[in-house]
Order: sequence, then structure tokens, then C-alpha cells
Amino acid sequence: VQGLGIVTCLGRGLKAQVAALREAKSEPGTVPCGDSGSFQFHSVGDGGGAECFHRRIEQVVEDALADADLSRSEIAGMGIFIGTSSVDLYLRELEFIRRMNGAAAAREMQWEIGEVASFIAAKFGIRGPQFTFTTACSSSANAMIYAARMLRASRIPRALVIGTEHFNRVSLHGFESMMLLSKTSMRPFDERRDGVVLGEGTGALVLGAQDTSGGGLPNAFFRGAATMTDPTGITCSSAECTAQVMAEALREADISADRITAIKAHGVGTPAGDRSEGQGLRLLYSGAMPPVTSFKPSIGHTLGACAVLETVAFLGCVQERFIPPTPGFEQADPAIGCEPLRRAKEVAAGYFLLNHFGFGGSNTALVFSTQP
Amino acid sequence: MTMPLKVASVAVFLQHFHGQPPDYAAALSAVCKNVPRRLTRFIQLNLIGAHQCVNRARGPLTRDCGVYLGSAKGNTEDAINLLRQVFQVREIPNPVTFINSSTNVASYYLAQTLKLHGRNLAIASSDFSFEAALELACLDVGDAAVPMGLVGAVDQSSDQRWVDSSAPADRGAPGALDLSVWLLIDPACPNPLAEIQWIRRANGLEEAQPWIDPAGERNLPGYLALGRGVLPGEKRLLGERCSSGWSTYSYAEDIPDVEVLAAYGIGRFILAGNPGRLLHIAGNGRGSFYGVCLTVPRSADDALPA
Repeated sequence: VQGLGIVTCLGRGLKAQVAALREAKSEPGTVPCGDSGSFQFHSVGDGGGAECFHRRIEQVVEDALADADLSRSEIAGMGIFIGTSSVDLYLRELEFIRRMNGAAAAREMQWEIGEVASFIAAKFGIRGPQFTFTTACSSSANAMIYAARMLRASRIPRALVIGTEHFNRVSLHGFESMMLLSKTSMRPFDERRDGVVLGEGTGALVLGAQDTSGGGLPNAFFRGAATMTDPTGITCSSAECTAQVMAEALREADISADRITAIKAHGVGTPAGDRSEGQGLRLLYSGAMPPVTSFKPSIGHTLGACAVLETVAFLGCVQERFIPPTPGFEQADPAIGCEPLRRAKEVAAGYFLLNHFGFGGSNTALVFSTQP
Repeated sequence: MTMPLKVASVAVFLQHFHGQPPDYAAALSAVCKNVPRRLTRFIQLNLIGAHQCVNRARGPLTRDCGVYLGSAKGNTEDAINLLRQVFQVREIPNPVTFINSSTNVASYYLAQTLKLHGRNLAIASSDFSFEAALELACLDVGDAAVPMGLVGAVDQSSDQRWVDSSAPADRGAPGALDLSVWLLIDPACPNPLAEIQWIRRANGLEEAQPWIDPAGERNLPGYLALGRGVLPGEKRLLGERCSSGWSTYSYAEDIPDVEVLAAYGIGRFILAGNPGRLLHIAGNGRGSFYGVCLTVPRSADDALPA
């Protein structure tokens, strides 16, 4: 990981994420949503409007490229890998409202999923291939996986991986319609868990095959990954399939489960989602399980961006030699058999497993290490 | 990645229509035994093309076959319906419409109906969405990360009125097109319809021009297809490199423009079954190009009706 940039409700930059996670901060705000009243939401709080959408992505990419200290020609050769669930739905909502109110079209809406990647390419002079992955909440995990694959195949010299999700009402009401929004607070793996609190944010990683000047996360190395499908669960996978994707990632990383130092769970906080992941972990670990944590009570569920945001934040904490606790977890659920950390735990070097699952049976697991 | 890669089967499903978009339920039932309920048009389009492709393949799919759906726009129809539900009708959206609006749900239903557990990706890359999906599939199959890959290019025509649904529909106006093209890449196929020789990307015409060997192909007739996004001046310069060893392959004169048109041209070329080497070059009008080179062998006895 040669460079990074991140903005979430916890602030801009890695230090802000690590400090807030160390304190187990979990302070969602609220957003008004028409006739439905207001909803809990983890907002970045950098203003609204169309300009904000592009400015946020631009700033985070700027941070990542500056951190990697790349020349203009090195930037030009990068490939772009974006993971997002709603893409630019926020902009479409603004445009729809404008037209509904009788205004002339502000711009031609092309409905092109690759628009954000094209914007980044034009803004920063990047001329490599562009891939936008839309596999729901695993989108940016798949972006990371294929960036690493293209690097290993020497198809590109460097990759810019972006996970981005912007507030939009359609997603919020969509989760409402599926009765997946928490009425209390997010409590992953807790017996009283009742759903998610959504969030927004943008993260960017510069991935390269070579060590560089020491930007980014100098002790973070992508070791292996798996991406698989559960064709029987459109909104929630089976425990067997979640266990299978974790096992496959470990196989690709060529390590055994007992060598994992800690696990960053998807930890989505829904009754079914956590049961599936927890039972999947129990299938992988019949005995002692490494420490488990979930970041979603702090950052919110950032949908397609969650893999990049949570990976950056998690590796930042590992660099500071601790695994953060999971805010809100108090009562273990006997049906799961998985208890996330209640307090921060010190760690040294090791291997780390990071899970991300999405609608459409899309399951991913990533393995990072602190050694090359 | 290891090349060439064998193409075991191809299907091209194209619907050019006027007025209301057609109902695909009957077409889907004809190719898929157990059609899931509550599918919308984009998902139906995916399933029709993919099942046609799989049905034509001579061997069974393996459980770990990867699915690579390239779509520039995704499920626009359901996305517009969601906007209408939330902002015009001011009601909570239908949860099925919400779920279906995610592009990868179309490839999920494909995995469900074909019982696939492997990689399942929805990929977009604006003008090169098909080529991007094909590149990742070739990467995975070529490295044996998956045993075979089902690669699709699907885009639908959608109602662009957005807000005022009482206005005359421009959906179905001249030029409306639904397209679903699928290729099955199977390295173990004994009698492939075609072999993908390489897939490359170029920044600038000077990088793309060397793709064309002026001498043509020694053993097979050479065909050059210049797809969408190649500007007239670029077409002229690329054409100048072609000697008598090359013929021009045109395929898009009579159908509307869609981002994934390259898949249509490549699919039709393979299905025609004429032995030859096809070099397909598409551009984005801003100096970037994708080239796909494939051969249809003389021994192919598997030509299917287009």
C-alpha cells in the first residue's frame, strides 16, 4: 500500500480514523428525509450539492497520490479500480428533483456507471484502464482484488483503488423498505442487534508491486483474497458460503486459519447477516477464534465503499499496534458463537482477515499481512 | 495471462423495438427451465442471452465458472422507477425493485439458475464495458483462477423522460435497443468456435497501429472491424495500415449505438463461422483504444444460426 486517502464521518485522513476508533467512537447524526422524518446516518459533513460529490472524491484521490509521492508519468500509467454501490445516484436525485420542479435539465444524464472513473482519469491525467465494480456492499473489495490481480499479472504498474459512497435517499429508503435500518443503534453480533445505520465516505489506495518511499502503509501487504457467490441467498448468504470464501482466501494467501492474528468482520448488525458471518467463522474455527472486530458502529455501513474504508482504517490501527473494539457490543448471541472485542487489544506483526459481503450473494475475504 | 483462450459458445440476443419494450417472459421461459419470479427487464435480458449461450455449449458448466457481466449503464429502468417512487409518488420503494436495481443482482440470478458458486462480477468501463469484462475473464481463465468464464455484455434502452411519465414515451423511439451478448470461455473445449488471441489497450493511435500487421494473416483471411468511438481520422489512419491481406468487417450500420456494441460485432463474427482472423478496435473518442483479436479456425464445425 503505497499511498492512501480517506474521509468518513470520523474525519479526513488516517490519523482521524485511528484516533476515533481507538476511542470506540459511535456518534451517528440524523438526516431529514422528506415525509419519512429523519434517519440516523454517519455523515461526512462536508456540505451538500453536486460540487460536494466530486470535490470529496477529488480531495481523497489527491491525498492518496500525494502520499504515494508519484511523478506525473507514474500517475498517468495507473489503472483505476472503483467500487461503489450507488455510483452517482446522489447527483441523479438532485437532477430528478430539479426536473420535477420544472427546471430545465442541468446536464444530460448518461446513466453511465463508469462516469466517476472517467472524472478521476480526466482530473488527474490517468490513462490506464478503468474498472468500476458494482457488486453491492462487496464492490470495493472486488476492486482491490482485481487491482492486485492486474498488478501480479504485470498488466499495470500501479493501481488506484477507490471506494466511494455518497448519501442518497433511494438507498436509505431502500434499506427502510427491507426493514434493515436499526431503530436503536448498531450492535454487531450483539443478541439485541436490530439493523444497520448507513454512512458515507470515500477512500483511495495506491497499490504497487514495489516498495516505495514509505508513504501509505509501509507495513501492509495484500497477501490473497477470494470472491465467490452464494446462489441461494440474494440478501444474506449461508454460513457455509461465508466460511468457504474465508477458507479460499486463506488458501490463496497460503496460510492456515490458526495463523490469523485478528479478523475485521463485515459485522453488518442485522440479525441474519451477523448470524451467517458468525456461524461461518465458527465453521472455520471450531476452537479458539482470533480477536474479531467490526467498524460499522463507528463509520456506519458505507455499502460499496465499506471494504476500502474499513481496510484502510483497520490497517492504520494495526500500524499503531492495536485492534479497536466494537462499539455497542455487550450481550453475546448464543446462536452465533462469536464475540467481538469489547476493549482495544494490542497486536504486533501478523496476518489479518477482512470480510465483506454484499447483496446478490457476493462474498469476499481479503488477507493482509505486516510482512512482505 | 495465458493466451489464446477458447470460445466454446456464443449467443447474441438483440431486440430493436418501437413503442413499449417487449415482454421477455416467453423468450426467457424458452431457454431457462426454472425462471425465478419477479424479474425485471434488465435481469430477463441477462438471463436470456446467458442461457442461450450455455444451452449451446456442448459440455456442462463447472460449479466454479466465473461470471463477468459488462454493462455500461446497468439496470437503468429500475433505477428510474426508484427515483419516481421516492420523489414523485413519495412512497417507500418496493424492496424488490430496490434489490433488482443493483447490476450484480442480474448476474446473481444467472448464478442461481445455473447453480454457480464462483466469481460473479458486474463491471463497467463506459465505452469499453464489454472489453473490460472480457479482459478480467481472460485474466482469470488464463491464470486458471477459474476453470471457465461466462462473459456478458448487456445494456437496455430505457425511458429517458425521467419525471413526467404522462408525456409521450421516447422509450421505443427509433433507435431503441436491448442487447445481451454472452461468450463462454472454456480452455478445455475440444471444438471451439473461436480462440481469443489477445486483448490490449492503447493510449493514442500510435500504440494501436502496430496491432495491425500490414502483411495480413498468413493462414487465415484477416478482417478489421473499427467499432464505435473510432473517429473518422483515426479510421483512415488505421485503414492505411491494411494491405490486401485484410478485409473490412462492418456490423453496426443498421442498429442503434450502444456502449457494448463491440460484443455484438464480435459475437456475430464468431457465429457466422467463417474461418478468419478478426481484429476489433474500439475507441472512446478521446484517444484510448481497446483491441480484441480472435480467430475462427477452419475446423470449426459448430457454426450456429445468428
